[in-house]
Amino acid sequence: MYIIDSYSICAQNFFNYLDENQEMEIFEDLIYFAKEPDYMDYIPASLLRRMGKAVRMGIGSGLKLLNTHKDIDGIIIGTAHGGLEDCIKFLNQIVHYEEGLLTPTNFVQSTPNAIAGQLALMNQNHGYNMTHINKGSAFENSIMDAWIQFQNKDINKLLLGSVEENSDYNKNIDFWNGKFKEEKVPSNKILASDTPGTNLGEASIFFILDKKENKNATKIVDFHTSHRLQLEDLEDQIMDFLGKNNISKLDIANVISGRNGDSRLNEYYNTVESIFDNASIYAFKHWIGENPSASAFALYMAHLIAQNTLEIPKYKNAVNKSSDNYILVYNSYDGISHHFYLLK
Amino acid sequence: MEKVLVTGLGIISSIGLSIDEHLLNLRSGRHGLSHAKNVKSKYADTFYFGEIKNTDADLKEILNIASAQSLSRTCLLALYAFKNAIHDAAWSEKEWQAKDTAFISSSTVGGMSNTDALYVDANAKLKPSPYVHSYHGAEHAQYIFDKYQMQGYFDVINTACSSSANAILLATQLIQLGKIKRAIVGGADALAKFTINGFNALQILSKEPCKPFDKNRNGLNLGEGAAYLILEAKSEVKNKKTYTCITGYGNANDAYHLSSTSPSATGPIWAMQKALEAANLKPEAIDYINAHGTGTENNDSTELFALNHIFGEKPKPFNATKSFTGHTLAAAGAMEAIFTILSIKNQELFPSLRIDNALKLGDWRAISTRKENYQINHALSNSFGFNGNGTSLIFSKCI
Amino acid sequence: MTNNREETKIALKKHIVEYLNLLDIKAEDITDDEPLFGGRMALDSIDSLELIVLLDREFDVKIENPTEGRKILTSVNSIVDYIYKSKDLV
Repeated sequence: MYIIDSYSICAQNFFNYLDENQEMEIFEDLIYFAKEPDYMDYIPASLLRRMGKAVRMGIGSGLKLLNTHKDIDGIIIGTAHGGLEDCIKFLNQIVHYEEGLLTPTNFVQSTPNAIAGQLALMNQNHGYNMTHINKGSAFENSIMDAWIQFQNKDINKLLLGSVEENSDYNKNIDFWNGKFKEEKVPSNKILASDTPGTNLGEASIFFILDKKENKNATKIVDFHTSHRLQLEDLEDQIMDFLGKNNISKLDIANVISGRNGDSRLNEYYNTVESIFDNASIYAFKHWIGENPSASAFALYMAHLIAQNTLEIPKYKNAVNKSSDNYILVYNSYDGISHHFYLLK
Repeated sequence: MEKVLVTGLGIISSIGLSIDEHLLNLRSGRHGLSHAKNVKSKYADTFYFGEIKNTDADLKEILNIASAQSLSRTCLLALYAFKNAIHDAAWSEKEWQAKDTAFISSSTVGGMSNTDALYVDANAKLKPSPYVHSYHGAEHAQYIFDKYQMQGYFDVINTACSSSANAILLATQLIQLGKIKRAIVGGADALAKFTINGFNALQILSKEPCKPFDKNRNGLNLGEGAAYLILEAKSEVKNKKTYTCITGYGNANDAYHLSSTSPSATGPIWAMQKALEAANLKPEAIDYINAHGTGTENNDSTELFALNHIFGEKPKPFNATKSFTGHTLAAAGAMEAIFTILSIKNQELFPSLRIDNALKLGDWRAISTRKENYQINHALSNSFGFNGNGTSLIFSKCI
Repeated sequence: MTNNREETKIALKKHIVEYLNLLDIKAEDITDDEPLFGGRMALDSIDSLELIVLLDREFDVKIENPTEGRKILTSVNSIVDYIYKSKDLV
């Protein structure tokens, strides 16, 4: 599986415009909202008017890629949150109007597969269409889905994306579920934090995946998820993952770490980063925030690094850089499911 | 490619708490549609619903769960059907905790079935309700995955009404490709004020028991339930009770409108064609079709058009079992897979209920009487959802 | 609600833009007799449901079902006619 193109909408303009003169923005708040482009430029007003934020972001990223890659065979989306803003709007309508006559748009747009459905509609794509919602594994499930579908001789190119919005809905629910820190920590200090909780961010990251071998593309060599991984088993798990692909730790040039300053997970990320002292370490959640599909952003960054598209600031420099080859991604949203990716 | 066998079934709906109870009611034409008693909604007495009579307290008692535990109704239904499925397949920890056992579930409403609590929590009005952890569509699955300490591939789908059919599709592919050896697949959805009002806003609910494929149909009845299937690779199954094989699957998008199907039924036609290709079967080989058949003006006429297009002028027997259970949303695909499997296993056809003035296309019309001793080698089941999503599955007698 | 047809038309146009979230059409640019469906606004069946809710909430006027709705909701003029007829006004 090869990443041949990608597009992101996230909290940092740096990644939107791939402009060397952009600086990473520092955030003070608990939630980092996405910098959305002017959608009116390319999404027809007649469709845009109905879209809640999640759908807008998803269509806004996906359509950018579909305008250049019209020949896709299917659309796969991972979204843990779905259309939250529309969900709460409909919910509030139910209460406010006491189950009276209600407008249906919010309901229809709140369904998680509204993103995949509208992309298909706008691209007139009748192909495979799937939406995965399993929280911190939704994106990983969509990657596996892509792998499965590529085994079909009729499927050669897929649009794959993840969308995670933030709204009052999940701010309150996530607050009650202990996702946030008790104290406010700005984004430039969050990774050094050692208290429970983190800051959240919204993002929509899309890829065009191709199954044809392509030396200029970024290859997703392998991916693996380990549930309920204990800290003491983490190193063995990584070594098994590399060994299965006939490579050693010295072949890893870059590591993208999902560390987010949540003390409940810091040790995992410390362990991974210390194993690969021969690699450059990148972190990213201080830039874009945490969300259930953050791995998608890690893959996006991996693609930029592999393609040498942009000079991205490193989190830690390699002690003794040994390779120019592989990129390893390690991320866990909930500390239960741990995700590994190997790219080249 | 590995052959995929169905070795266990678990189901709960308004027509029963067991496979046997479902069979009894399907055979005798006894549906589960009524005004609602459990779900709190202004519309409880306006519309008909396929509501499960057991309250949450009843379900907790059956499941041996402390009444204080704040699990959503969706979660309780899922757990019930899940337990029944693994019991039916005679599974133990060895199977469900294996790393090569997948769990692929689905739900559209999830814990939002506790709509009132959701409103409170989402708007941060008061202290958090005990349900604050339970709203997410994946919550029921996460609860089960954790309770059973499962370790294998874990996925949750939401493609509206085709969700659990897609769960079956994905697991079948994973087994065929040798990525996993077995899977529990299906979905659950409880009745909820949220969905009742959503469907009412679309004005597609009926104030009578629904009449799929009848000229006077005027909408669907929402239902609730959960259904899980146990799938196993043939090479793993020695001398085990087997229901059927899963031989075909197809997913396609109609790409026409968010909540209705195109007049040319492009999506449904593509889904059925792909399923036939995957099964390496010609349309003639299909002996029976379990239609999506919701009872809406749009679905039934476009689906009938699609059936006629794929299978030709000579009609095949088809029915809409939603005339028994109502539309159980995410659970529908798996539920109807189970009904299709039971038809094949018992070589019988269940009727489609309340067809007084049949919707016809040429000689095509839904069957309205039960047929025993009916030879079925291959059967197809359709599930079409919002946002154009459509999935067809083919089940075959295992030879 | 005003008894003045012109004011009703203006209010209706504003509500249409708001309920349907029309991004590229201003209320004052909607002509009284342009077709709402099948015209430049390209409204669809979901919009007709939204308009039914609009009439209920803003004008206290009921349309029983979508089929009846499509006949009434053809243009601003036809909607205003219906509003006035429902309230027995001229």
